[in-house]
Amino acid sequence: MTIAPAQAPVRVEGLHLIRHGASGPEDLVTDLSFDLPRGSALALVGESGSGKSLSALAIMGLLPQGVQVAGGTVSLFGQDSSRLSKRDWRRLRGTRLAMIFQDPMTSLDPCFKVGAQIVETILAHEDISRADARARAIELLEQVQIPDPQARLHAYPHELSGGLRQRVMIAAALALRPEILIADEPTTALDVTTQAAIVSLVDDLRRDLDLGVLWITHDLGVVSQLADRVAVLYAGEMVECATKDEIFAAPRHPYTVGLIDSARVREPGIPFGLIKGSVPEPGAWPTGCRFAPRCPIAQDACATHPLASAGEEHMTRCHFPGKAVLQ
Amino acid sequence: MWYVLQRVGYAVLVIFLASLVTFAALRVAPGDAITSMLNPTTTPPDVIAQYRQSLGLDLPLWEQYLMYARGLLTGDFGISLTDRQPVMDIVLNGAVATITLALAAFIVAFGIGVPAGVLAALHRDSLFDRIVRGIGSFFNSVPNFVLALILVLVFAVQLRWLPVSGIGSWKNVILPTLVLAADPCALTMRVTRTSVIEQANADFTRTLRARGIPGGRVNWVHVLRNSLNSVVSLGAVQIRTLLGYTLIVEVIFRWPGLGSQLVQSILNRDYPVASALALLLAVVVVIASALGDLALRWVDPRIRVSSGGSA
Repeated sequence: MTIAPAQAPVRVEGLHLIRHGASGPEDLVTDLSFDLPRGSALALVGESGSGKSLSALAIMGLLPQGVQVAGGTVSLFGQDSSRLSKRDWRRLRGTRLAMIFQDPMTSLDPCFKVGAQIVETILAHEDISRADARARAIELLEQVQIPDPQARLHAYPHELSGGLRQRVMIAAALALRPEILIADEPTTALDVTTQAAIVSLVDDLRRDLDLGVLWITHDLGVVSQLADRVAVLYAGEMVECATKDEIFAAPRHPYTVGLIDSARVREPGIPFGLIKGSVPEPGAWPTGCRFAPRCPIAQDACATHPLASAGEEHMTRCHFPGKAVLQ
Repeated sequence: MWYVLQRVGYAVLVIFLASLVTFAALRVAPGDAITSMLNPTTTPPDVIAQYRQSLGLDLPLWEQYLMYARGLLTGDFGISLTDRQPVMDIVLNGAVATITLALAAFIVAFGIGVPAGVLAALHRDSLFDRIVRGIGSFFNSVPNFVLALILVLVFAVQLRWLPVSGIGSWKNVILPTLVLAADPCALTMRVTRTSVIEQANADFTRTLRARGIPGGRVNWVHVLRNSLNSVVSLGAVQIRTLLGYTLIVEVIFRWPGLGSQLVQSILNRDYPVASALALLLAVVVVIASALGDLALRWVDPRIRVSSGGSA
């Protein structure tokens, strides 16, 4: 199999995820496509229920039971991931493809010391001595700026603060020098100052290690610090994708406009710009434009499902791109 | 260390209270030892009075308790009212028989319950899972004296593979052990299964898989280790349950343990034996729950911190 030299390590094309509900299959994610090159940071933005976490789990081959890939492909390092055996997956995860999760309290095994969990990851993939793995674990803890790494090695997860736990998660994820790091809302459970520190740590690591970072979040503040491209998801599909600067300066989809508007710092007395209503549940999506019921500029044409604008650097899925503007 | 001292202090207090209760309960119960030893209608009153005096039954209750407590502290539990042997000897014999039975049942319950629970959880809704759950709810719902009668009828009376009751060879141990282990085994199986399923769906297992840790290791090391928590706390409770069950099972199988002795001594109003036995059972329960707590601290690192002190 020849590998096209220009292909990004992660390429998602037309991904379609379904789950089997009470009334037959329900769409969870439809027609999702993006590339994740090394050294870049793509932010996947959306409210809960938009399908962003599922898309990430699909890349990792860790979809929860009952959720299936119904169409499209996820190519990992030039290989179609649907053809990977269990063994291939295990060798890929942790080594070239790593992931960190939202809640660092529940995402680390509470019964094992953090050092042991990092060492275990190294030994699962490399045939080196335990002592060498320990030395590597200390280096990793240093790399993620954990003070006194030697002592922290012997700490249990509950003995560390949320920020430190997330740093441990990152250290374990980076243990085998992956090319891709998927971060599923890793700062959501942390307080604001810790969030900023974790974001800048990942940003530094991305540069130092030439990591491709897929950062899943609903927090636009994080996006502006970290991402170079932003993809906005709504009700299981991508509605807009562009460079960070474009998205913030000239958003074209009314949903993106609303998101940015509701996150802006305002003068006292001026009400927040809220998007009315909430994201429809999977299975209850409108047949036309899925955002139309909440859209301030919706018209008759929005009863048909808009296609993604193709071949452009700035992708939008809207019948009237650019018509909604920031106030 | 502070934690261990606290535990010991607590245990001493509980045992003291237990000694009060065991002492009082038998005195308060209607009827006394004399009326069960001698027929009050045919025995002359002065003979009865003499007996009372020689046994200290004519003294005020608090004096009787002091005598009793002094005896406990010096290892002297008095003399049995019915067969005139030192209570200590009777109780020690019974303890050996009961501990043999309870330990065998404990090993069977956990030795079968834990692995069966883990396998059922890992192969959820498989045929194995359903069979194990079916057997489990059967043993859970059948009262153990009924189970005892069924097993005796089948294996001892019909097939003649095993003795009906009594003590002697290893064959005598099998039926009472099975009867005693059935319910705890079913419970252990169910708790293990639930706990493993819960832990297998915990966030950390997904993290481990995302790091490429092999599935077998995730299940048999991480999930099992996290499930042990509830299995160990259950174990401490089970020791108590087992002791309760031995009372019934020992009587059915005429197993000369503490349970048989306790029932016999209560029927005979043999105060010294009955109160020594009740107290001994209380001590065993206190020790079992202390051991359970310590085991739990060993199993779950989070508990070590919340109860303060170093383990």
